[in-house]
Amino acid sequence: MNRMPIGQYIPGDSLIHHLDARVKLIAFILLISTIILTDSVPGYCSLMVLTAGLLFVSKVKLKTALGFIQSLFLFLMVIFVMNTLFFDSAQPICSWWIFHISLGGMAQGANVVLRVIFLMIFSSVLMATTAPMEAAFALKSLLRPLQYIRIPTEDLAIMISVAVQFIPVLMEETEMIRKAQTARGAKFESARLREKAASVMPLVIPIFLGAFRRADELSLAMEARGYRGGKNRTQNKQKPLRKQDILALLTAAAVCFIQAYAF
Amino acid sequence: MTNVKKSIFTAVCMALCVVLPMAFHSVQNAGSIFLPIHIPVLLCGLLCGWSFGLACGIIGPVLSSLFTGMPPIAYLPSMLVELAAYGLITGIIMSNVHTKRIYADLYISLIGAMLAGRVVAGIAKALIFSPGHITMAAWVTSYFVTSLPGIIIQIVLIPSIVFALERAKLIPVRYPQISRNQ
Amino acid sequence: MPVELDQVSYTYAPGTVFEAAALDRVTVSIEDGEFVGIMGHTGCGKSTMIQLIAGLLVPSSGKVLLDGCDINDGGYRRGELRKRVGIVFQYPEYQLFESTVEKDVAFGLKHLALNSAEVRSRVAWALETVGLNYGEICRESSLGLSGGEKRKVAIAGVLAMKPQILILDEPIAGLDPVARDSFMQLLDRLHNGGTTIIIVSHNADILGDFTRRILVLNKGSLVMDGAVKDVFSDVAQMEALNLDVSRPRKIAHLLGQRGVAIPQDIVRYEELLTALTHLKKSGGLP
Repeated sequence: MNRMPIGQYIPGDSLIHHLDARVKLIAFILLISTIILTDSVPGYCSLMVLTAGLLFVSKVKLKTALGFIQSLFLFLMVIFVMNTLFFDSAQPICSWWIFHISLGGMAQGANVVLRVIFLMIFSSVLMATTAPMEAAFALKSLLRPLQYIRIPTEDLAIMISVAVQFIPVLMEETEMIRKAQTARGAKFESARLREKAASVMPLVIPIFLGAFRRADELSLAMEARGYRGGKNRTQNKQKPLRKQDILALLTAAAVCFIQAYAF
Repeated sequence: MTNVKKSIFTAVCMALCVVLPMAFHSVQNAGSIFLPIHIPVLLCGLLCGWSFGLACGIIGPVLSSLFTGMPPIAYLPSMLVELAAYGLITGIIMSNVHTKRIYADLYISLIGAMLAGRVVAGIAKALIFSPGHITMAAWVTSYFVTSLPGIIIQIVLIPSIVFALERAKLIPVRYPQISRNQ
Repeated sequence: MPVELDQVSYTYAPGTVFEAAALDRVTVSIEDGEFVGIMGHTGCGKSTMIQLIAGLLVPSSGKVLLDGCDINDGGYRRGELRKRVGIVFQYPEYQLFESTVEKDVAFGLKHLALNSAEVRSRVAWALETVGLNYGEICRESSLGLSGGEKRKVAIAGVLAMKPQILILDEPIAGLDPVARDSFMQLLDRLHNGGTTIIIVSHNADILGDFTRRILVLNKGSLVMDGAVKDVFSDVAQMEALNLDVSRPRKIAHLLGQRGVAIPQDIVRYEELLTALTHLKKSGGLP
């Protein structure tokens, strides 16, 4: 089954689905900054309205967008409790040893938890509307400006492309190895710590051997064809941004601006 | 190794950051114990050097998050910092420490990187989630205690992978004269 | 110990956009000591079928029975299944991982409660069976061997378990003709020793020479099942399925079309030669 994993992507036909992935990534970053700049009740209310609008336009179901809550519940609780207990406040409600419970601490905890929740909702929308493949390539092209601070972005871009192509191949090979070792009686579990490591060796070592063998073959082929590094590679033509992409970008920037100044 | 080879090795390590956690997903709750995403990053730093290790530590978890939804974005920043530190530090130590014993080199690099990486990640977490308000010591201590099993497993697992790759002649042998006598 | 599939279906990724039926209500029974070939176009469900028999996949519906017991029943002991059914995947050499050949071959034996002498004798037997010298090779690193030797070691690792049913997925892909022949001879010896052998291959000549029965799968359904000569006799249907028949069979078929009175149940070269010699003597050849 030579298939790409699709993560949380839900193929669809909404306005957001059709936006350029680069635009979505930048807008996502803008929205995150918006979240970080927010720390008042009216601010969170306006974020809530914004989220509702986004869900409506992207046709992502609220249930999907909040799907992370179950897996992150403990994490959110820990953040809240940590902040509540360790927040240094002038007027603690009660104190014991290094723990101080205060209203300020609870507010801080709620603040952090709310930020994480909004961050996760926005990321759910991004992931649900963007095929991972497109997102990876958008990431690649957004790295390009980094070349001005002498980061070899061309090489990075090639590594990302190769990595993405290897994902389904390695998945399939991994599945085969797991089955082959299972058929020979391997059990990938053990109670004792050292044996735990040993029990996954039959799985992990062949996976790495297979991956590096393929990498070795590919790099030999690339060198044989005269490839020496990213420098002189002809670039893939990038699709220009369309009207709706630019409009979306401007909207996101405006939202970020208003949110930052109004609240 | 040539730079082309290092680039492609790094690329497969990035891909393994996506694939390995999925493989462990089918093994019952192994993900939290084995920290499978750490393995390719540490290995990449050890074999390809600090710059490639760093690239793998940053790109690997991002790709994993995109393609599998794990780690969730909320965990991504701190995990990214931690993994980037692993790739970077294993690379630096491995290329500067030559004890003439590959075991020693590997253990020093791995332990050094895992300790330093966890400190960096602890600080990053504290800064991100509660700037300046959390007792650093409490946080860092809890971080090490919970991740001790993972550290031990990595220390057993990763050298075995390195030796397997050496025996399969996929990477150059680090100390040719010595290993021949073993 | 017969293998039976009873109305077995298997669906990949049920409930997603990728949902696909890989196997559709297949019923077949393979008796003890049979030598069965499985043919079919890529994606026809061959791999799915053998993985179901080996208990590596669980059917979406239907039953897989071994000796009359449902292997996916909660009470069935997996360890017993692993011991009885051995499976050699395509490119088995990629599953090697231990530091020495001996350890790699002995990997599966760890779970069998054997003492160390028994383990050693099994390993030696398995390595000798695949044509390697135990004394010379056992301490070598399995990862440093040549490709052909690695494959033999990997197969020895499966044989060491002494499975009563041995399943092989395209085991001769990528082997040269000599290695291919000696490998098939090895399977033939195992078969003569009483092992049930199930082999998936595209190579109709090899299947014609060694197997007794052929199953043909198409788009997840079992479309043909019978003695080799019966399956190969229907050249038209095999061609419609995009599959080869053995070359001697093909020659006999073409001669038959030209009006030569040659028997149409020829599968192997020896049979073709005998028939042609016979025809020549009787003046049946133009």
